[in-house]
Amino acid sequence: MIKNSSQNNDYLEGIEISNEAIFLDPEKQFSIRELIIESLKKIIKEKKLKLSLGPELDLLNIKRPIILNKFDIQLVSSGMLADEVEIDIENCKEKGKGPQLFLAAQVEEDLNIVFFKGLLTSQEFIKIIKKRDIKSNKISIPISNFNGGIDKLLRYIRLLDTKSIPRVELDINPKVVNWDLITRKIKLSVTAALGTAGLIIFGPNILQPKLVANLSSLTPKDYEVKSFTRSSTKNSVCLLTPIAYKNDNNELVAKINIDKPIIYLLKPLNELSISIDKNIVWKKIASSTEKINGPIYWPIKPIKTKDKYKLLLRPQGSPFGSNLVINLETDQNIPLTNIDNFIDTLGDNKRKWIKAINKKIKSNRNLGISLLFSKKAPDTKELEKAKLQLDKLNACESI
Amino acid sequence: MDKVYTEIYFLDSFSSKVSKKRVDFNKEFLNEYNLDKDNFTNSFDKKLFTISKEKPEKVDSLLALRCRVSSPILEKIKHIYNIFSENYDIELQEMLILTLNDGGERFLRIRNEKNKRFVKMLFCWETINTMHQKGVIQPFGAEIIFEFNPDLSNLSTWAKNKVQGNYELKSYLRNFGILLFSHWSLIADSSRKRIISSWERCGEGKFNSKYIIKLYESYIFNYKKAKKDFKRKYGKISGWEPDRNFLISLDPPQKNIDTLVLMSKAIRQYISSTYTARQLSQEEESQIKSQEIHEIENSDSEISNKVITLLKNNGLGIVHKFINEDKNKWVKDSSRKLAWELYSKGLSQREIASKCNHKQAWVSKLLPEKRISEEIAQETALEILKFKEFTNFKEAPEKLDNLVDGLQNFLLIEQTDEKISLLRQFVRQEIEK
Repeated sequence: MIKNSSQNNDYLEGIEISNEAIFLDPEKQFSIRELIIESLKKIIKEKKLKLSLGPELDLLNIKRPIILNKFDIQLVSSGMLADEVEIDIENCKEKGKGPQLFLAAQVEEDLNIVFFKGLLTSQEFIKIIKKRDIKSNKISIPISNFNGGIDKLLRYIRLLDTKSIPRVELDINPKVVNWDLITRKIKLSVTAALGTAGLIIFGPNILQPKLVANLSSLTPKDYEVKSFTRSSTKNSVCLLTPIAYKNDNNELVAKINIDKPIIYLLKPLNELSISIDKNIVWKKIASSTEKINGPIYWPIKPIKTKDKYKLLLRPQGSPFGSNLVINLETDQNIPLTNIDNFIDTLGDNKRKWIKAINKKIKSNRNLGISLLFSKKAPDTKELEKAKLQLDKLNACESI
Repeated sequence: MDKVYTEIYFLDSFSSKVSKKRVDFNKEFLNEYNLDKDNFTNSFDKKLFTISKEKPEKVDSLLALRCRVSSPILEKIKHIYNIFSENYDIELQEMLILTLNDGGERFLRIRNEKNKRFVKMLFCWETINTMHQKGVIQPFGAEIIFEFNPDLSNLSTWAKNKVQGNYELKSYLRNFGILLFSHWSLIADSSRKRIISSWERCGEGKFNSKYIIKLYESYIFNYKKAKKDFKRKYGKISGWEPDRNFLISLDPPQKNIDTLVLMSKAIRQYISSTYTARQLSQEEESQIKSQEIHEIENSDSEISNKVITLLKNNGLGIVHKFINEDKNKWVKDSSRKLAWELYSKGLSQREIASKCNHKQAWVSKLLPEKRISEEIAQETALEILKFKEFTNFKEAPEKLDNLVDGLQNFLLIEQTDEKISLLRQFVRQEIEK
């Protein structure tokens, strides 16, 4: 972008604006994020491209990446004269949240000019920062690392397969980042907790160590909920079930294969609601006397195939609007289990119950947990103690 | 020799040329102060400034200062014009209309908002203060004086800085693809590394790098807040200048802007020496990469033929679109059509600019060769990726880059049989239609 224009003078007075820069109406007031988004929209419109740009309702949220033609792209910006650009790496530290691409925009705020300097793929980014000692959530890299301009962005998002570029995943802060380590830690802590208690809970039966081992493999997931008010701190939702993953549109989706799934919380919520087709069909707000925590039984009519429910979870301490949204979708690959019918097949046989829980914990977590917490489960000390043990487990905090 | 306090430079609206005239002063004022100086002094500037403020109803001291600032305004505008006019179709006169617009009159005509009539008022501090309260001070020289603080800088530096940050001037130059920047945004945009390198290589003055870095870090911290406050108040950042409070808040606190200006100058000089001058003909025409791989030539002939057919089909369509969009302007400016014709005949940007009586930047903007070739290459690549030989290119960004770069280069290199590039051939076909 910077090309000397002071040929016969000692000092640089101005720079030439690239022909590829985008000029927006100088009379309008835009934030930097708006300038970049509007410029992208302008390019897409001028080139008559059919590209989806999202998240539609949250495009101006500076903390969120944009989703352009299913690619997760983090926008980074600097002034027109900058030699370095600052990148927020908070998302990169969380599994499944890091972007695939970084798009650098050089912005002139007064005159509403945006020049897309270029791209960095996740691999290129990792290569640049791999030797650095990263202590904060921001990192500065030379802007010259970004190249190719807007053309390169369009090349990649139009011509490459979405999966050809992995997400950035930084392994720099074990407390937040190292998912493998987290998993190992939880396994160890659960095993340790249940291992010593195992003999007491389940007796010498050969099934018990197996159940302990299977329970120990239950890894809860911690989902950060961002708050955009200045005063509030970061909160998270810790779920044992359902477990959700991000889809191509950066939305959390949990695949469900039982008709009355349990929502098992390991951290208290302020609010939990269930909606379908944008209508809230059930809602619970925590009070001073009633917390929302632990296992929540499915409170409404059983789920049918193709139903698409949304869970809205607001953690304790989060203001209104700071929610986690999980889309519940029935798993097309596995038939939907009617939990009541399944339970009927178990009858009162304690051995059958423990065996079924053991088996399902492994293959179908939600069903396994639902059986363990089923109101029709046989009244045995062993299962009660197991439930209590699991309930006490505060795996997300212990990380 | 110029009489800096009694003669004013202004753009004569009748002749459209810069004129210099001797202004009328009150005899008593002339007798009291010796205004017929050939050179300015900072102390006399300060004296006049103090009188203007302390006797807000008086015209003469302010008038002397208006004469005084007209010279650095003109100097700065000419300087900017000389830098950019070689490559851009900018007009000196247009730049002066925005900045050298004080004719040296003793009265101002101000529109009364209530009855919409113009009122004749004395051109004194009181009047410009009223204008300030309404949000706009005109002419520009009056704004420079009103916002001047003699303790923070000298009037010449101040006037030149104000020209550099003039929003209207920046907006005018923006239309030609030129971005002027102030000392303040340049420092704010620079990294710590750049500050150190520029100071060590080009810095002037007594301070060492350690001092400069400390100052820079506090500048960055305070500038963000100051910029935010200014933007909230005025809706833009242009025109912001460090005031006394800002300078005191720095670490180490600054008495004036001098060290900051030295920092900025060091960066400007450093960048000037780092980046080579723009050579339009080299940079924007036929950007063929050195590692060029002619995949098309190396593949088997059946694929080659298919690719060339695709390039031609996409190329003609896309060139048609670009030329069609420009055609609307051909009636008003026939040189645009001529430029396309000359391009199709293989002339360079420099030659086209010369024949069309325009500057090279105009040609480069009009004929976006790189943009057109990239668009054709991408559209063609979209179809090539459907061939089974190329499907794995969708998985590998480097391979894809090679493919699209290869196609783009193929469009831009001279074809041996025709002596002009494929892209120019497409333009020729479209023009001759």
